Amino acid sequence: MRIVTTTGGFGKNADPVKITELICRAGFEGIDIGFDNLFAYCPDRVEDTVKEMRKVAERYGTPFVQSHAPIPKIRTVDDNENIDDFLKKAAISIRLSGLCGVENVIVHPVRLLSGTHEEQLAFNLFLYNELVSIAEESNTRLAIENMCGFKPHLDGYKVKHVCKTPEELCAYIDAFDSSAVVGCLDTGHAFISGESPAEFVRMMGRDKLFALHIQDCDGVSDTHTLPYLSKIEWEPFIRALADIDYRGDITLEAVLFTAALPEKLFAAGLALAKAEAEYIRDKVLEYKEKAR
Amino acid sequence: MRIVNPTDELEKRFGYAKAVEMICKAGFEGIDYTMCAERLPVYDGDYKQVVKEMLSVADAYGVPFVQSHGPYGRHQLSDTAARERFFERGRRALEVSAMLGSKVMVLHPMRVMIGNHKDQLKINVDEISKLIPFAKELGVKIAIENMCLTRPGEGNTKVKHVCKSAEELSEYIDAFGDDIITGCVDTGHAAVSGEIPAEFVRILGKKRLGALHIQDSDGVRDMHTLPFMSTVDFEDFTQALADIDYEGDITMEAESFMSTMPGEIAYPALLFTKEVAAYLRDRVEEKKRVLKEKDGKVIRV
Repeated sequence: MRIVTTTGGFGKNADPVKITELICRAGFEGIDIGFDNLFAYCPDRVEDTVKEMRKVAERYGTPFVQSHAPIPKIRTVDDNENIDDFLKKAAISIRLSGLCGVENVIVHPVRLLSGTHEEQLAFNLFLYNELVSIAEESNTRLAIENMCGFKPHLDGYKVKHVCKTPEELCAYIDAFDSSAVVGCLDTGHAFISGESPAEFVRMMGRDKLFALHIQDCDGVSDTHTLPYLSKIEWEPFIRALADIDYRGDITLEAVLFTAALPEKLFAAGLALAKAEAEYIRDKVLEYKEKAR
Repeated sequence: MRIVNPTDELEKRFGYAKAVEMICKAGFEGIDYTMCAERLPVYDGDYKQVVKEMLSVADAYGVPFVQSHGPYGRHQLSDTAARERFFERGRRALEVSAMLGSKVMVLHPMRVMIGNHKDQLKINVDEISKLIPFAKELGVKIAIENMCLTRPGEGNTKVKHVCKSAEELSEYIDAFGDDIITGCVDTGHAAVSGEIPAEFVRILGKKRLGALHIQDSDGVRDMHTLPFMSTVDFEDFTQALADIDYEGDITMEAESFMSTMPGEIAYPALLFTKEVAAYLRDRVEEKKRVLKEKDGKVIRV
């Protein structure tokens, strides 16, 4: 169970190669590649930049273990421009992830402006079907993330979001009927959706929970800050991971914690993040040991 | 300009000796000894022994005590016993500060339940003045801190608070007409009071600004979290400190940042706090250098 953090979340001007080095130097044992940031920072040099990141990571002996595909901006079934853009970028992200040895590529399910549960699911199956094949070819997996509808009215959506509950996320995973499709739990998204992150873990179980986005929030805003800085209760979450014998990585996604810092404090912020991830991992292992 | 952290939260969790050790080990260059709580060993126990133990730890690391926080006055001045208790505790806190070597002790001005601005000012001058002879004898300045309204209904008080604005705090400091009285800007209190911390610094100026309590806040809650965790503009604040050529310490008061963290993470959080303090100090010094380089003409407030 490695401690991992993302290269995303250091502001749009932060060089991903430098961030990779900072993550390695902080002592993280795995790296989560944030492709959204890569496409924003160097849209024409994504592949070359990933190669440079890989060189740095290899120098420190730190593997790439997780990645995050670009976030789809698709709002309707005929939103062809955004569909094509997403599929192109997601395919690149999955292939590069496979080349880097990434085990889980996190993907956000799409929320259409309107539509029943079945229509939303059908569109996601259509959209991700080809990407699942690419993941299988690339020897990696797609991990569907639970979402939250924290400001649906502001964006004109008639649905809060999809995959807000463990039942719905499990239904999405099962619908693909592929071992290349698994689940990722975002603790803050669960909390905002009125779900207990600990219960979310138990409902998904070890068979479906392969990846984590660990972040704290106040249950209202998707604050993506470090654990113990907001309102989630971490002890039950840690116990739930031990109870299901979770074997994936302890991956932080406290992107707004780091993004708020001046660049000169990135290393210090990562040092604290690493200490927190280590604490959570050690507690999970301690509880697993006690259960034995 | 030293980077300083208070013992406050650390003493609550780990005891005073361990708190001092953690601050020293983390690399802070000064210690702020907090004596706000009602029950503390320096008030209830053998205070000379407490001071001796803390000094022994700090001396081993070569880190001085540079600031302290005196007792809260509350707003019970119609209660003679409470007034007496505040005076006794204030005097003890000054004595402890001097024994530790601190040169400035921060005090909250008192907000009494009823009274206009003049009444509030007079009561504060009367009460705090009683401590001045001791402060002078011991060589410890008293820094009056700006306050904020967080619990307006507390104690049925009819006033929001005193010293919320830079002008009012300046008036309080000036009312004593004595250099032993100085000012302390709490950045979060300023933000919650609708004031801009940088402007607060500029209005107080170098002459009146003797100490800092640096903390971040969202302008609504008195959060006492670390800079960059909420909405205070610390670029502007460090510029203001450079503008007035502030030469005091960079003292953090962000105890809530770690208050809900498990004990195992408290020290990493303290290390991060130290880095944030060092960053702020470096920004002030960089900005001072820029000002000095500008034609050699620097307008000081």
